[in-house]
Amino acid sequence: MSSIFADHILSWMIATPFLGIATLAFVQNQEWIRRVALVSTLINVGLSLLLWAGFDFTNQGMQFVERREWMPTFNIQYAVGVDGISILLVLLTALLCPLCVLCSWTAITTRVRAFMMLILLVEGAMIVVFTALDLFLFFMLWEITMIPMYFMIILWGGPDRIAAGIKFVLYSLTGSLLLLVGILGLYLEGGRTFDIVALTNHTYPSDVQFWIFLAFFLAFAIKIPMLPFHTWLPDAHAEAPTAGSVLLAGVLLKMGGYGFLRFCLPMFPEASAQFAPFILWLSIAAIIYGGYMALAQSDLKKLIAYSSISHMGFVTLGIFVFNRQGIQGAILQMFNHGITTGALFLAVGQLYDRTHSRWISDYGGLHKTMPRFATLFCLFSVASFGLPGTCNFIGEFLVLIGTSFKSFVMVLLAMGGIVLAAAYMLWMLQRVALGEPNTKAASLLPDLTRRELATVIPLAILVFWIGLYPGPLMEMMDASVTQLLEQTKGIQSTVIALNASWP
Amino acid sequence: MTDEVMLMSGYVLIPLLPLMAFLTLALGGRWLRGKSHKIAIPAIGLSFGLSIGAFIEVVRNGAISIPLYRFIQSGSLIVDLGLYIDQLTVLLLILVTGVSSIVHVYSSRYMIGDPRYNRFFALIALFTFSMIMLVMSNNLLLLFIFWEVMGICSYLLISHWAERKSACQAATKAFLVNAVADVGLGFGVILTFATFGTLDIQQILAQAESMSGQTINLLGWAGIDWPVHTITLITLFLFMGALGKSAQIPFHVWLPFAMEAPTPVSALIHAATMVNAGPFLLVRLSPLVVLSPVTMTVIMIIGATTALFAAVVSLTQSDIKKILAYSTISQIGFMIMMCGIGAFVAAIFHLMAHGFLKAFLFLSTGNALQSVQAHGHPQSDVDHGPTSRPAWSLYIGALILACIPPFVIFSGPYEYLWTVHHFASAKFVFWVIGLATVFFTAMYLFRGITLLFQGGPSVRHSESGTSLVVQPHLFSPSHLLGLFIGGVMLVSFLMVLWGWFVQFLAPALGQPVPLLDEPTPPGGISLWILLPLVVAFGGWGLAYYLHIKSRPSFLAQSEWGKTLYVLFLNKLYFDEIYEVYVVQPTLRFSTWLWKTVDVGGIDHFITGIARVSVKLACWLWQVVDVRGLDRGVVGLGRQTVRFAHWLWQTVDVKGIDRKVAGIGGQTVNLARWLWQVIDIRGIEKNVERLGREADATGHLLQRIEPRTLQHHLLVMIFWLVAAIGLFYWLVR
Repeated sequence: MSSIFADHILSWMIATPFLGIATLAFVQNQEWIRRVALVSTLINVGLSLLLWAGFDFTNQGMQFVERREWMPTFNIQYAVGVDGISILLVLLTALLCPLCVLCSWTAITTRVRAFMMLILLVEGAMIVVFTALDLFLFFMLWEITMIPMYFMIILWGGPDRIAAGIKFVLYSLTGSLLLLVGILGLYLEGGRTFDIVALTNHTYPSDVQFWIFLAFFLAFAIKIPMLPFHTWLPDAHAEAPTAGSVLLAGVLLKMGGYGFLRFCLPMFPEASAQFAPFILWLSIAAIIYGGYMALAQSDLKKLIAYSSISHMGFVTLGIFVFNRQGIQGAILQMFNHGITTGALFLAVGQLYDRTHSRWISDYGGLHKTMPRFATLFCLFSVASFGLPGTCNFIGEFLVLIGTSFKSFVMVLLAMGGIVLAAAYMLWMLQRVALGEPNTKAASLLPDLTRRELATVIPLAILVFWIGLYPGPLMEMMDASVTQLLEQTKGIQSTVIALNASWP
Repeated sequence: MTDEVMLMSGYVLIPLLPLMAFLTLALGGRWLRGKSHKIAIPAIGLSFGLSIGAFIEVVRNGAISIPLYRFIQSGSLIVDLGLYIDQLTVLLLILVTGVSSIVHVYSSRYMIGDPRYNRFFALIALFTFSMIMLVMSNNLLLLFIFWEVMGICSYLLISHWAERKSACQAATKAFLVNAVADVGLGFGVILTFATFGTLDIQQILAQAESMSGQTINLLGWAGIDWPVHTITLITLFLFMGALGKSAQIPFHVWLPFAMEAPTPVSALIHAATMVNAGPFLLVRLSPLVVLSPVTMTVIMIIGATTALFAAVVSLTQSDIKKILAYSTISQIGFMIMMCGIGAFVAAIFHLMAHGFLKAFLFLSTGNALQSVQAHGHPQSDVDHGPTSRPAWSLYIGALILACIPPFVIFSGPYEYLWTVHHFASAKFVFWVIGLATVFFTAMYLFRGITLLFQGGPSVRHSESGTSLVVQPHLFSPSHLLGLFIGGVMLVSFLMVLWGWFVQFLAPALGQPVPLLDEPTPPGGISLWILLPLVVAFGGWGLAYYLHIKSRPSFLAQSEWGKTLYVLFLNKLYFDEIYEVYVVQPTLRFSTWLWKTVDVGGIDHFITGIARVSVKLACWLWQVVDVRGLDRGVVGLGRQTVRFAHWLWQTVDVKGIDRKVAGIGGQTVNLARWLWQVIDIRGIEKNVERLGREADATGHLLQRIEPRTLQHHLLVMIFWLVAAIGLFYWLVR
């Protein structure tokens, strides 16, 4: 491995999807278009594994850093790097994209090239978002992720795609404008630089913190999404094609959580502490509310979408309890949610490819006709509500332990949300996989093909691996979380007056 | 690694073998199919053998501890997984692997021809693995994990015959009831960590004493002072989890429904092993539990209530598996009650005996059911039962089952425990409850087995409680004598066993009751033991009497008797109450919340904002743009024309024209021409046309779908341009 390669591994990871797009422009044959897309995403998986192998667990700061002047007038750089928080999300992005290509193999028949290009565009943009060390770069690619998603929804989506697309864009743009305002505020306050590391080390006065935090918070809250800003998500998830749903749920939502960790906590610790009680209760509300919403759904994809809101409630809960267990749990929960919810969307996509129906009532008795599918679907469902031994449990458990340092009432309420999760998942499982087929079509469905198995098996392995041996992932983020806690030390001493103050 | 350590780590194989069997069957089950048991049986059998080895090892050298790996490390939260084998564990291990091996062998015949034969074996192997891990875990988190994994195994096995809707519903119900209870367990685990700073069971127990004074102010947030002992809180929450798994009131509703599972599963999971997790947990944490008198009292009351309640319900059921299910609930209630009074050794003794016996009863029942099913009868409401030899095995099993709890509990050493926590009247109450439970246990077991084997055609009417018919010829004096001698021998055997048992288990438990000033050494036997035996035979006799008389029983004749009967036949309406007051409201609430709040409220509000902005845009265009500015322009044109007209009329014609008469005519002509050609036809028409066109464009715009691609693009580009513009403006 030459040093040029080793020193620029992140740039290569960013460049690969774009090179893939460029190659796709010259490929005519549909089969080859798919293959090229798959190969370029797989290359990124390989690169991400190299990144993991070369990652120094003990280093707190940014690694694999690359800096180039881009727009010197405004102090804008091309600067990328990863730390323990972002590397997991980079890995997740790299992992999910080949699965997205695989699941669209036969599902997408029209404008294949455009679709594959969009997947690659999302991948490239997401990797930049998670690795950017320059706020301007971050913002630009943050915006760019929205565009391919929008087109995926409105061009290949379900029957209600247009409305869903509009809603998605309106919400995202509102968030983006707030983010832009926040970024500009930060630029002006933080010494006219876009360098994230420098901005993080800068200390901001309280009132400035308050307003910039608010702008950032709203932008990320819409993205993640938190309770009152969530209504774009069920529509967008439900109407998007399978690959779109997987990317949305698996990767795009994590931009919000990543934003909280990268910007809100270290840059505005005081404002974070100020807002924390509010955010914590909102998270608890989201966990329970999302559970109730999912219980009411008769549409598979909407059910999973609402369950995402509940899971993301755990992420925000973990982040804003400001302790190691909470934050590690939140990061792990983001990763795990990407795996399980991504897998659930893949599974539902496999059903949708067969019947073109998302309604729970159109299925039933799949254990008989599709035993492999039923097994995997069952696995991902129980993993999704956090069955111990599967990956989600670790994240949720850590978040709950972290929360227990703040308030036991919240822990109990959040656990109530887990019961709701068990209820909607098992009820859904009962109606989809068990019993007798409800329709003639459901009794004739063929089981998973090899390609479809290859799409979900890697995720199934990860579910158990993380569930039983989370050590490596925890170790990876440990040092960076330590640093993050150092940066937020101010709020540890700030007494956070919670309603429930019993120990 | 020394030899000894090597030997120790050999015990890792006890859970590992079933796990490997599971993995083999899960991954390669498709190719094994009918041969699946050939993988599972040796694995479990070996595991059983190793358990015996572990037993001998523990008898010789005491507890073994095998560290595995570091599971989680996050700040102060460090979870090191490991296996811990002490006296309590080995007993449970023998029970679990023993019953599991028997059930495996039994199932290899019982499940023949089942389309999901390999799945069945994979799952019972997984279950065995998780139960083994549960009893061996050194850590509350590990225990919780396998507690839940057992739950999902139970779920999957209850829904084994997934074509049956009732089986699927029972499975979901079982898991969800347990999920609610497990909130308690999970919260208890978190609370334990918060209190002790560790999840290692031995460390917690070691620290327990020192924490006994710590209190939490529960109503601190409301400004009220209500201190509660931390340990009380922890143990109550942990006990809530135990209530779920062990099917105690109010979480008992799932177990009777779980009988939808194949009978071997009922024997293994829902009678012998998994449901014992509750008493096991209490005994495992006994040094912690005894520190809280409140918890002990709660445990005792719930256990006693369940024991009696389930025994009576069992008496009214007509499905043999449901009778056994309620019997299990009742017996475990007994164990829980024993835990509540501090008789942990007795609880474990009963647990072991009950585990083996109940498995035996279920398997015998399975035999009987299969032979009945071969004649085309469903599982429940058995009639025309075969009068066969298994009946005798069942009767003997039933007798032992009915007598063991009283035997243990009323034997001398624990008599003092009836003065529970210096609460003298409790003594009498628990005597009564204990004896009543024994009485009813004997009665329902006799009735159930008789129904199964000797039921005449009229047994179906037994549900109305009016006629119970049985052929009495089976009970010849010689049979009764044989039964009596067998019973006496068994009781003597158990007494000897009991004496040894108390000594053996002592190191695993620590001090049983700290409240007592001078604990008498357990192990002795008093004559009180005969009382429960007499009561058990009394119950048996009454059942026999009621069955032998083909006339309505005295209960059925009185009104209140009927009411009571119906009440217990419907299990005090627990299922209906949960359905009406918990399940349905939750579902209705979620639908209401979704439709009203989410779609009708939040979403409506936000799309409302969008709609209002579109309307605002329309209004701006219509009112300000078209009507205001446009008309203004048009009006200006008109005014100009009018002004010209006026100018021409007043100034030009009247004034100048007259004054300058000479060129007046020409000017007038010119002006008229100008006005006609340029002004009216030209300007005015142009202006008016502009207005009309604006109108038309407006209509055209309205007709264009606002949802077209171009529109979105325009919107987006507009925003982006605006954003970049704003950005530049601010940065500049």
